[in-house]
Amino acid sequence: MIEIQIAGAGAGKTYGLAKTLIDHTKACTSHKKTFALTYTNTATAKIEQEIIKQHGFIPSNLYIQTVHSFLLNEIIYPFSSFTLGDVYNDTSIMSLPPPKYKNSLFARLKKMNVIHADNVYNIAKQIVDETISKHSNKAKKAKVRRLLAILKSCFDKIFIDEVQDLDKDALRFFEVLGSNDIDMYMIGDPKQAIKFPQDLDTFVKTVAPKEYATILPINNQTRRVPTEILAVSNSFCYEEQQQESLSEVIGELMFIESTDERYDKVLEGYIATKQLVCIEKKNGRYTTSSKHKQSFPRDIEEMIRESNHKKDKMLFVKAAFIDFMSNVTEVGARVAISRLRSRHSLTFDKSHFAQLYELCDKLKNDDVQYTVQSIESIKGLEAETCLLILSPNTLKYLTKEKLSQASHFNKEWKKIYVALTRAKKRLVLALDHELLAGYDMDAVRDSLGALGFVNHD
Amino acid sequence: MYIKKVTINNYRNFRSFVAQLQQLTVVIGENDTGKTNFFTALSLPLSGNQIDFNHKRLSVSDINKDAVIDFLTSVVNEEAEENQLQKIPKVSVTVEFADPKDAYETALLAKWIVAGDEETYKIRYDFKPKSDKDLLDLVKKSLAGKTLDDINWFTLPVEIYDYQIVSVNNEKPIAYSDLKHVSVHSINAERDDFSESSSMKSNSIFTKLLMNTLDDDDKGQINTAYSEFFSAIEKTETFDKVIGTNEDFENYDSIIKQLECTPNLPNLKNILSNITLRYGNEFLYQKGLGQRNLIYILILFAYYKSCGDTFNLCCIEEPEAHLSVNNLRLVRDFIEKSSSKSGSLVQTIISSHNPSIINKLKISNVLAFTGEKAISLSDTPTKLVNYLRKRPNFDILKLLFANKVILVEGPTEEMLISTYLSKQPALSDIDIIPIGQRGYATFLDIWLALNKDNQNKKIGIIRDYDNSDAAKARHDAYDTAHANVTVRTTTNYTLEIDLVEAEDNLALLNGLFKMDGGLDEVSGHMIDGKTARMLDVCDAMVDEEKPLDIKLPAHIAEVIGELS
Repeated sequence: MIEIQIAGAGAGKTYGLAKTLIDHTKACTSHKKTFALTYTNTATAKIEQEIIKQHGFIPSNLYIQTVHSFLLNEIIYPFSSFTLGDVYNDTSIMSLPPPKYKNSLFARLKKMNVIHADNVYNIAKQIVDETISKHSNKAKKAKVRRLLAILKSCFDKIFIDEVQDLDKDALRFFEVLGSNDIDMYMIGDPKQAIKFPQDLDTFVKTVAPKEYATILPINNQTRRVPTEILAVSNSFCYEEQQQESLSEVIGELMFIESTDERYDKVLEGYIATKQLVCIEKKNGRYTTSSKHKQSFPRDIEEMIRESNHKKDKMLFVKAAFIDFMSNVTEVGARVAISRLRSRHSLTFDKSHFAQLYELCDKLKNDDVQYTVQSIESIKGLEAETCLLILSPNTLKYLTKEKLSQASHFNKEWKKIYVALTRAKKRLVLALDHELLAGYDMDAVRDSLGALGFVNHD
Repeated sequence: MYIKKVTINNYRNFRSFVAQLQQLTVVIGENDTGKTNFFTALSLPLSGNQIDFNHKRLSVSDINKDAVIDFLTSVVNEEAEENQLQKIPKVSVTVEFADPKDAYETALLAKWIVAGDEETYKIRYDFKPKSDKDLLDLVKKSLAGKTLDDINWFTLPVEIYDYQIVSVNNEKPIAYSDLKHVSVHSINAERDDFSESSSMKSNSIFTKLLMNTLDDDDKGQINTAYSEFFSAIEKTETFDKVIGTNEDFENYDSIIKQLECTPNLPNLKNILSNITLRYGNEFLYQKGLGQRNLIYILILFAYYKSCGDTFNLCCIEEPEAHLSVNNLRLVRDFIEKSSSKSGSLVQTIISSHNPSIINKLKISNVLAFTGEKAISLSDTPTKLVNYLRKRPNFDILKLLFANKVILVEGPTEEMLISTYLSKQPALSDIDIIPIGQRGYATFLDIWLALNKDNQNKKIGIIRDYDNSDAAKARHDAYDTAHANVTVRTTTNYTLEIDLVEAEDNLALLNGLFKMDGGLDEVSGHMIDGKTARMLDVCDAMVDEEKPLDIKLPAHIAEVIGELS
């Protein structure tokens, strides 16, 4: 059974989900596990906090984790050998080469029993979906069915938050479970589908007629976003998903320009008071920190892991990476790489060097004045104030000037919706003249004014 | 669910060893065949033995000595590095679960599923070097310039070994949260200290039993009572009396006033661990060894029942130890009922040297250790299983393990042959077992299962013809097929006729019975008189002054000849 609940930004999804989870686990008497899955670790922590707030502790039969961790630990590691004949026991987040080399990298990782994080959804789907070509004969299909029966003995119900972040493979995975008697509750907002803008919409259309799926009435209320801000954000919503505000706060729409002498003070002030300050992607003097998401290329990591040391292998690799990162910022890529090589007595070939230089490029952040958040990373968060630094692209979508019909409801479009719906009170647009070089600022001011934005007080 | 198969490599006496288990398994074997080692090996891949402290980190003496010597030899002989790496001694114990009965058991095992003809669930304990190369380098260095005579097997550097428990399907270490659901509890043979002192183990088991069974209200009451106990101590004001006051120091009193008695181990488990068991009017540890053993086993089974959500492998070594006839029967029935009624989350393995335990708990549950192999007798025909259950005192161990054994039909044969053998000191190593029935085939089958190709073990069968050529042919086939099996049948209908017929026996027996008959009369007289007549003959054979020189019938003499 699959229940799908669509709810807009600020509808109180986390609060409601936490409450549902507590009630569900209280009523659940079997040994089976209940899972609450989210896309990010931050979101996992948020649900945990909410449950602790409402219930005092996390029920022992409730497992709150990210979709990736669930798919790896509950599906891929234990069962990929059973239905696919492939063994995986570790995962890699190393950065990917250009598309044409991707598959050979995946194959190389597979030989080491490593799955790349980007493949998790797809492999998970392959494991449980008997309709794919890999499960071509009766015996193979029987194994998949046996596995589904086993999973039914293990899982009570799976709740998925932010379901719009799943791609079509992941959605298909959960559909297979749901159509095989494992209860599934999905909640999300297709308007915020930044990663896979169309997948959730397509999925809902596909499963809606199936007898195992129930599409619950859309929740268009928002507790967070004030009516004044909705006036802007609703123009980024589907017709049947226009939101209404339950908030009593009077919303404020403002903009501030870099030519204004208060600009730096205002930005710093919002950052210091933990308001949400975001940008589409790093640009000019604004960076979005994502160092922790980097790692050594897998084979170099392997070399360091197996190099001659007597320490804990995981920690050793982590330490080596931290050293490497700080070396890159302090002494530059060339020296950092050569230090890495001599420190661990490694032998690099050309491709190793190339991969490391590429990594260094990613680690570099020159001329950075502000470390802010990316729009992707503030999904699910809220604050009194949200400040969005406009890039030409963001501006284009916001004003919808010269925006083709094809661009409607795409990735960028949905990012705007996310950024617009974070603030409980005040939405500020930052106009950095350097980023918007070449624009007629008067015209920009006019079109923002038409949307209701006024100069920052 | 139960553990169906165990595979052990390089652990103690097991170089490469496989054993099939059942829901209830009775391990038998001669001394030094590895029964105890088998039990400890089983504890390695399973979760903590909460009762006996259990070392998963092994020492060099736990690694199979032959494997170590082979490896060290290959290093000294400077074999190719590839060979040397391959010979690094690594201990592994794989357990294979099968047959989950319901959704709960399926969920316990799910992640360890291994595809195959039959679906199984495997986990493995490994004790191996963190890095093969490092170990080899280290050993090479320490053995440089040495010869085979210089090396000692215990020089293997196990400090760079590590252990892990992995799921076989992905070689990934198993999280404790998953492993804790499959546990093992052993009651080892050296359990005489179970209730030996005030720090006895009986406490810890009983404490855990209490922890598992007390509900929250009970626990609350105990906690309250415990705090009251401390208030009572405080009320005696002993504390003030001991510390007293000291006027020489300023502030002394104000500091001392802050001091108070309080429980130093406030958790319930520690409170409960201060309990000792009383039996009647005595402390349990003052009771006899046998009585203590009995109580130990009873408490343990109660404990297993209390761990309802965990799979428990319960290993008991020699439950018969120290038990009197009556208590033995009690324990035997108790184990039988407990293991058959405790549901499929309890699997029991016992080792025993006691025939009545083996026969009662069914010969088909037996796993016989021969030193190299473990042979499951699960295929034993129901007929024999039932026969042995009805004759619990039948010496099954003698049948299976004696070096030289003769099976005879009944007490007359046994008396005659025993008497004869007692006169021949060279033949004292032959055991005789009267089986009390005619069909030898099932006994031979089970004997062959263990001893088929072992030429150190010999078995003889002495049977009556009973006018059945078909039966004779059936038994003779065993003689033909196996060098260590000798089957002989009387020429005539029954033993007595062959005996009277042999050499001068007719005359001697006529003299003994004060008769003057022919073959028919004398043998008829003996047959009619059953064992009493044979006893007369045997007594006469060992008469101190004039022993009667009775010759054995040819078929018996031949069997003895083959065995000696």
